[in-house]
Amino acid sequence: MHTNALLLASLAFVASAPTSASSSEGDALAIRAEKLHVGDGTVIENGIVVFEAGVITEVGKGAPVPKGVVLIEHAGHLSAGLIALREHAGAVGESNDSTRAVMDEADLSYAYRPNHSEVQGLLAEGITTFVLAPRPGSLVGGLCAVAKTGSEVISRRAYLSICTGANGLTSNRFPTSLQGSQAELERRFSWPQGVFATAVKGELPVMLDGGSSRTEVQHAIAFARRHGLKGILVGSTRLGEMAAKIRAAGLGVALSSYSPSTGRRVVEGAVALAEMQVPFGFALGSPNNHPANLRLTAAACIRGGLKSGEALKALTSTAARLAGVGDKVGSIQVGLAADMVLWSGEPTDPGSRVMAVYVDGDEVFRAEDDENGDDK
Amino acid sequence: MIQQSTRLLQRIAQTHLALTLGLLGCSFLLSAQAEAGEKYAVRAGIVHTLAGEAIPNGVIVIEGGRITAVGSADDVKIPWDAEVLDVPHLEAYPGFVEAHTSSGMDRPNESVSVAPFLNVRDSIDPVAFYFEDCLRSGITTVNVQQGNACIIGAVGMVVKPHGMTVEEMLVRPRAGLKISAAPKSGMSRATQAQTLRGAFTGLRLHLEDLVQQKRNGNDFSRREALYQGRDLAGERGKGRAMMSKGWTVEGLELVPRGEVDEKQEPLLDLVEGRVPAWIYCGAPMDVRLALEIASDNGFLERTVLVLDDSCWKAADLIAEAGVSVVLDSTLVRTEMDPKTEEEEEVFIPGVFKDKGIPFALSSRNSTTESLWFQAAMCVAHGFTRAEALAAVTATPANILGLEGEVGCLCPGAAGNVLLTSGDPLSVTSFVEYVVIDGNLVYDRSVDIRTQHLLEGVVPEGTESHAEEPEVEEDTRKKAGDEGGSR
Amino acid sequence: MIWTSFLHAVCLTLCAPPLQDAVVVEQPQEPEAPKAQPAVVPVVPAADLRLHAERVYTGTGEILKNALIEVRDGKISSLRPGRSAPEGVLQVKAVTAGMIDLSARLHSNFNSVEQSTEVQPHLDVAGSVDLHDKRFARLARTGVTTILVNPLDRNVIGGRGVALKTHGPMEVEARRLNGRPILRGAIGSEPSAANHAAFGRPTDFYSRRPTTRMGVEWEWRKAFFDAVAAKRLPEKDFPGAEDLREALAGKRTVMIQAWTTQDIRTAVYLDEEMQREGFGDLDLVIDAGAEAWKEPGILVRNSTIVVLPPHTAGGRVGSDGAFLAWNTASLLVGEGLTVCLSAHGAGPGSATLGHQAGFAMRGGLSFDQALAAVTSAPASVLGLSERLGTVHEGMDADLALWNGRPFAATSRVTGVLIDGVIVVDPR
Repeated sequence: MHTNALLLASLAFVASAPTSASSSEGDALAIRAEKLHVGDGTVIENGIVVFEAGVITEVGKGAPVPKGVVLIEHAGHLSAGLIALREHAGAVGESNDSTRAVMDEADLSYAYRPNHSEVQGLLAEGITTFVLAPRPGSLVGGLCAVAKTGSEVISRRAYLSICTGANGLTSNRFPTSLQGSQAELERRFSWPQGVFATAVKGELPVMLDGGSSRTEVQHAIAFARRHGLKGILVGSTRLGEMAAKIRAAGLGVALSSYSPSTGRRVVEGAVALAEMQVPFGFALGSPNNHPANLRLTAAACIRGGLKSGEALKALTSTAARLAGVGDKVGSIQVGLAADMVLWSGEPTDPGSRVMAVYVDGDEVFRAEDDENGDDK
Repeated sequence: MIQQSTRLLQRIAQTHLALTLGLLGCSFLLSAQAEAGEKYAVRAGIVHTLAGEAIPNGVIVIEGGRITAVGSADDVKIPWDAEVLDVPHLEAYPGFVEAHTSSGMDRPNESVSVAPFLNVRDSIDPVAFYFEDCLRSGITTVNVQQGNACIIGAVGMVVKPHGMTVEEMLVRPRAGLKISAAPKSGMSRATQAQTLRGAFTGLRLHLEDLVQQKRNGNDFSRREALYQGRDLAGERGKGRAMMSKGWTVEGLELVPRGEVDEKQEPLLDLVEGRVPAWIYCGAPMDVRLALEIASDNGFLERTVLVLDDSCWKAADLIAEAGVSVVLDSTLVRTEMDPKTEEEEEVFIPGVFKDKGIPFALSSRNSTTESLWFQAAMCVAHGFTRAEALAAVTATPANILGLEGEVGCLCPGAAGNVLLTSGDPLSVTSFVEYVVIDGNLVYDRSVDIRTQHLLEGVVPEGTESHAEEPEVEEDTRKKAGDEGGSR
Repeated sequence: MIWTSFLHAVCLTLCAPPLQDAVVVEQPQEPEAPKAQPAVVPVVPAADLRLHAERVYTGTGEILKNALIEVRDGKISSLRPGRSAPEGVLQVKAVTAGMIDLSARLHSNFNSVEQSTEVQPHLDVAGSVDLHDKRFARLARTGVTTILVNPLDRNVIGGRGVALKTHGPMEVEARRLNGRPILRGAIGSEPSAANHAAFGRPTDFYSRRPTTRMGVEWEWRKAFFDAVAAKRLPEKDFPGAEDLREALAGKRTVMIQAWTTQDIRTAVYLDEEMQREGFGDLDLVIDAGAEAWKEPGILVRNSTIVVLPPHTAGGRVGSDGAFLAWNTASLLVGEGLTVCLSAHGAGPGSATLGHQAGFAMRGGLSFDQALAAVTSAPASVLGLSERLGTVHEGMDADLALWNGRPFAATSRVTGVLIDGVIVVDPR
């Protein structure tokens, strides 16, 4: 049976190859996967997704496949494309300006290079959307953009990036101290102008990098509460320890990547955040971090007790919601972009491979293509 | 720039001041040496022999540098011709014993990694302030060893902190060889261990080579010895079978000992158990290497471990090996549980006491946290006074092989006596006088360096303007006026 | 200017709540409310904690023998000598008030000092204090229960210090002790250490004044003169001017680090100059005044309080090469000056504040004077004598429990209470 399914799948691929599996030109496509992860926690056995002009038109077990539409059989899992919540791919040198502490109107979308190899590298790991954020180093780093990997920017005002902790300090310009930084931020947010006013009104979420220590995170949470800010906390491995406070402040979290030095805390943090029902996704921070770490971090969290469904949501739908693009990406739902990953197995199983990736209905990556590629 | 040069001036001035004070100090401290056979007696309010009950109104008689009688003034007669230090308001204690230090040398380490042929004798500076401070702090016996940055270091010696030359200071020459099981800078633990083992392999190969040469009728080593001017007369001209609890070289009796390369000879002494080894361990993991080297080469019984404060974790291993240790001057160590991040304090001497390991304390600095203070810290952490005092007297004396010689006021022991204004473990007590070998070598009332530290008194003629700007009333006023007219 | 008024408002929200607002987080001592008592209960409601001490050194010259101390709601609710130890009650040899270190230096290093300009009287170090720093707990274990945290001395006027208990809630504002406000600054080489002339290099942040001691001193005077001028000419107002004027009006204590005699003199002359100009009179505290022994006269005539740095083996201490004679504390107290001791934040081991008190006694200070120098004297500098520094009913239950005579080298702090909570259990 199993062999047959595999055979079928490969046949389907061969069959669809000439069409180059594209729906963006108007040709509809359909994919049937053994397991279809919708993104809200439900899994549809042998689910079918139909998409046309880059948008999902039908989803379901018995979704009708219109006549003439090629049905691709996938002997594996299908999920929405993954989302990295804090990312610098292709923009490392462009995403931070050390000369000024406050760059409230800096627009990260101008730093986006869709064809950059670092951006393309994300596709091989199934990352179809990411939040392009300034690297830490400024008090206010600018406006984060949400970009489709290798494609367009879909939101230019996802977050206002703010460092409330030591990450925002530099020794050769104001401020050099935490109290200096706090005074400056208080001034900006107590009598807000421009983007600060928008943020205070709750219309522009913030990405708060509090710094790594518990105390800095405490300050960040207190800061958000004081000014009624919405958004996410990033940059610390201590966030899980403060899940209750984060929940009370109505904030979300982008967890840092699993690494030898942070591993245990990241894992325990994810479990604690899930228990407290704090919405969280994962930050990546490539190119300093390999794109594979996004999913490996989630897998590590699962090993530490996080439910696999929660992990997948954090990688897709919750992340999309946190980035303010939940109405565009992050789930396999009618009306959302056809951003999908075909997996060889369970998406959060680190042993599963990415077989194919679709962005806006275009097949932008296929495992066979990359077999002889580099091992970035 | 200006600031820097001012600081430089200040530093020069300070050094100058210190030197001047030192010289002046010496002139006070070095009273006439008693000739051998001269008699000296101390009568003190209480005599703490540390070898029995304290003796109220006690007398200590010293003849020819050695204590001949200790007892109550009612029982012990002071010889009519003895010089007497009559201090009924003071208490007498034996001098403290520093079991291991690298102070008092011009520099503590030699760059050569394996250098058993060196001797600290050539590096000890008799007028180093360190030795003066020893007297102030009541230390009368010091084991000077090379620093820890070595693989096999110099031969050390035990001295008393008094004398114009190293010979005058000498208590025991060849008081052991310094070895380090912790990597010296630039080496990894693996290479440190390899070089350390290699040194003993090298000795063995050298000795086997000498034996083979003799068996071959080759006379090279004898000629080499004579060429270098080495002594081949008497015992040095005779061969002796190797006496070792580790490995032996058959036929070493064929080789006159004077023909053994002088670079190797101190190591041979070590292997044959004639000198002790002082092995430094910078981390718990070093203890295993130290014990292994000592036991493989047969000198475990004559090994003392000189421990970093982290090494308390290896206490079980040390207890099993049955060796003595000299503890680091850090007595309280903070350890953090990596998982809970909770901190815990470990009182290190307590660990060794509980395991029954003989340990000596070592000074943290030469004044405020000298041995007296370290012993007091032990009392603060629950030791009895006797246990704490033993760790700075009898135990280090035993470790140095000087039991009965120093560390107690007993007949036959060296005439080393402290006269203190009160309990020596009290922060408000002072060492008022020190007698070494029946000579009064320290008198606090004329110790200007202590006065300087305690009262800021700077002796006349040693003060420089960079150090102490003169301020008179009128200049003060003037400075104030200038301040006002901006 | 709008900007400056911004900053003033910022100060109000960010920095220490002004005194008159009295946003005291600690619960004020409520009169004993007659609680509804269950039927089978002794007449007096049970204390939260009781302990029995062979000796209680109250800090007022009294030694209470065999005293029973009861603690309720973080305060000492009763203190009765001549009692035998009831069954099961915590027993200790000796009790003193928890020690107070005015120069604990538990700041977060360079993050604690705003170096963009050298005069920052309006910034509050509280924003950079890291209560999760292990050093707080270490200090608490040595019997130090209250500390003053100041910014790192890389600024001429570094900002406001914050007094904190070494144990308690993990938020600075909840732990802050609202006593007398402290303005911290420095004289000597440290405030100018990072600065340099431009010398053809690209001008960076630190190519500016001051680069010398005289430059540092000039910044002090300029700051005060400008603050006074700004009162008449509002357009000259600047952040922190009001703080400086409050200092001149004696409403906040000015604590200046000055190691050497020349720097101590500079500080006192600054104060005297302000008096001559009719600007005001600084309430001056010299911190790290190692060489105060050299010219006690100028301190006496200005009634300056001195915080001494830790004693060292050779006498040399600090970055300015000062010499601290061991009799300094005793000499200054003999001159009638108030002296506080500091261990500069040393944790468990051999250099604790208790040991510093012992070393000062080695230099001639009496026990009572030494006790005052680490308890009641610093409490009064903080304006918290009503709560801290002595042991009697109604005071904060901040206690150091000793296993022998306090400050003796042969004893140590084995237990600590802070706000009635056993932080270190002696059992």
